[in-house]
Amino acid sequence: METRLYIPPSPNTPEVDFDFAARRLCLRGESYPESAVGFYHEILQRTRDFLGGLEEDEIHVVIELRYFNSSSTKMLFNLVDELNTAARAGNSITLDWYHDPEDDTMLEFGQELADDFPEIHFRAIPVENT
Amino acid sequence: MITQSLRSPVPEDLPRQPMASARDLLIPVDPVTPNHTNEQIARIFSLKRQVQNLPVVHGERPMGLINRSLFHNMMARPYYPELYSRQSCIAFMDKNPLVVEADTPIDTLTVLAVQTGEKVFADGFILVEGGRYQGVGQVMDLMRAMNDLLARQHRQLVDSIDYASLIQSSLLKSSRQALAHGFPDAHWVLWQPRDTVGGDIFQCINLADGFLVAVFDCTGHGVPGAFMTLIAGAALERAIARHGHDDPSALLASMNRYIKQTLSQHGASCQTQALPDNSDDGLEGVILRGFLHAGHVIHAGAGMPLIHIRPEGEGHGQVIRSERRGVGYAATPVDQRWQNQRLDLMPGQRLYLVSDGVIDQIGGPRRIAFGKSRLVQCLLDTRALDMAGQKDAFARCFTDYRGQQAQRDDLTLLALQWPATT
Repeated sequence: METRLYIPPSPNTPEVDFDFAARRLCLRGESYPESAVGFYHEILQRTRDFLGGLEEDEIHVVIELRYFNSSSTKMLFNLVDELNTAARAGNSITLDWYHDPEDDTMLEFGQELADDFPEIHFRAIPVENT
Repeated sequence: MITQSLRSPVPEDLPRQPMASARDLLIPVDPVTPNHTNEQIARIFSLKRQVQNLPVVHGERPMGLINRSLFHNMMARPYYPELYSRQSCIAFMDKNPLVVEADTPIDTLTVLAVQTGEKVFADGFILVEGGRYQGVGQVMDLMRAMNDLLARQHRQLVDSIDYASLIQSSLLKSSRQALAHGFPDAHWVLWQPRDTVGGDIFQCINLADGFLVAVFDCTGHGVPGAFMTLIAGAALERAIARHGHDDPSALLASMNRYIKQTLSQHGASCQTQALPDNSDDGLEGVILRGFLHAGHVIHAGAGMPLIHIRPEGEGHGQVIRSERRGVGYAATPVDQRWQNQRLDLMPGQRLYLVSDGVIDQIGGPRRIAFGKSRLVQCLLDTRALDMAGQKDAFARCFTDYRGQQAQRDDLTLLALQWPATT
């Protein structure tokens, strides 16, 4: 099984650091690629493959996004949907959703995710921007 | 220098406009052979001041390249002239120069030059025809040719998008006229695609007892977004033809079916499995039917809020949320329904239809989204201004907030003021 997927950040795509071996998946930065499907397709594919091979495992997911466009939003839903499926299959999934304390938009989106995917242990974590 | 057209590296259905090739950069230089001694090379370099690199050939095949300064550096070393003067010139020759066929397109040559690494800047490259030596080329000339090529390609792209922008603006013209006619001095529109054309569109139709207004934010921006706005426009038109103007919910449902059908989204109901070649496109939007005499609107929204500002007294702003599901999109069921909501309005009250480009724009000292609260506050703070004044005030507020941040998405904000009953 592959152990890590790393994509460095760019101005319009986030840093992707999916350390499968450590069971820790991080997404940070901004997401508005010209083609969200193009950018996320492989990420979703590999995450799906990784999650499919787990049994009663613990996975820690960190999402710290400042901006994402609507097509990235859908991709994020798909990602969290995959995590939810893995949670339903008996794995324990924690999603830490970092947001600026004044950023209602980002908090609201996180809460929508929490509502839609109740199998995931969701934590909204306000952090001041540095 | 020879200039002529050439074949493309990949066969195509129809020949494209010929691209400049390595041949255009050719500088004829008499090559030397391994029989030349370093002494002779030194003489050639001193006679031909402009020659920076001397190609070495065996028969007609290139063997290597002697770089002027490298050669002089070597020969300046202690005892080297004594040792090497009478030896073959291949001693100080680079045995692996970049060798390219003369018909190599400029962009391919650029890739090869970059792969060759730093030495290509000093050494340049050797040009051959069918493997036979023709001359040399310099990186400076290659950069110039590549720059011309990019400038031409960029120009073509920009011209094409500029023209597309004329078409997109023309499509909005009838709606602009309808707004001007139906809401004289009682509306304003901020419509600003991020990349000249975009995925946001607004529509307005005046009716005997009121009006229909819609804002759609289609997937993507730029050219793909603009394609989607055409589909959205056609979808609305067909929906109106079938269901009339009075039921926004039915219009969204009909648009949903039309978009899914047009983009062949049927069957791809499980979006997580979608491959990149399956369409997963759609739109967020609000359709609002105004009944002027009755004093209310019926509206239905899909992933887009409606903002209602009551100017009386302290002022009151309300964000009316819509159902989250978008119209079209593989994950949206073909029989999805969106609820109609009714909102009573008094003269002077204002309604705002807004795309997420406005709400999600990054800015401010914390570099976070503009957000709905800030938007509502800004609209409340400026509620006493007339419509033109409010547009200016909003534009200032938004631009100040955005600061140095780039516009992230297409922007649409359409404002209506409920007219006095006639």
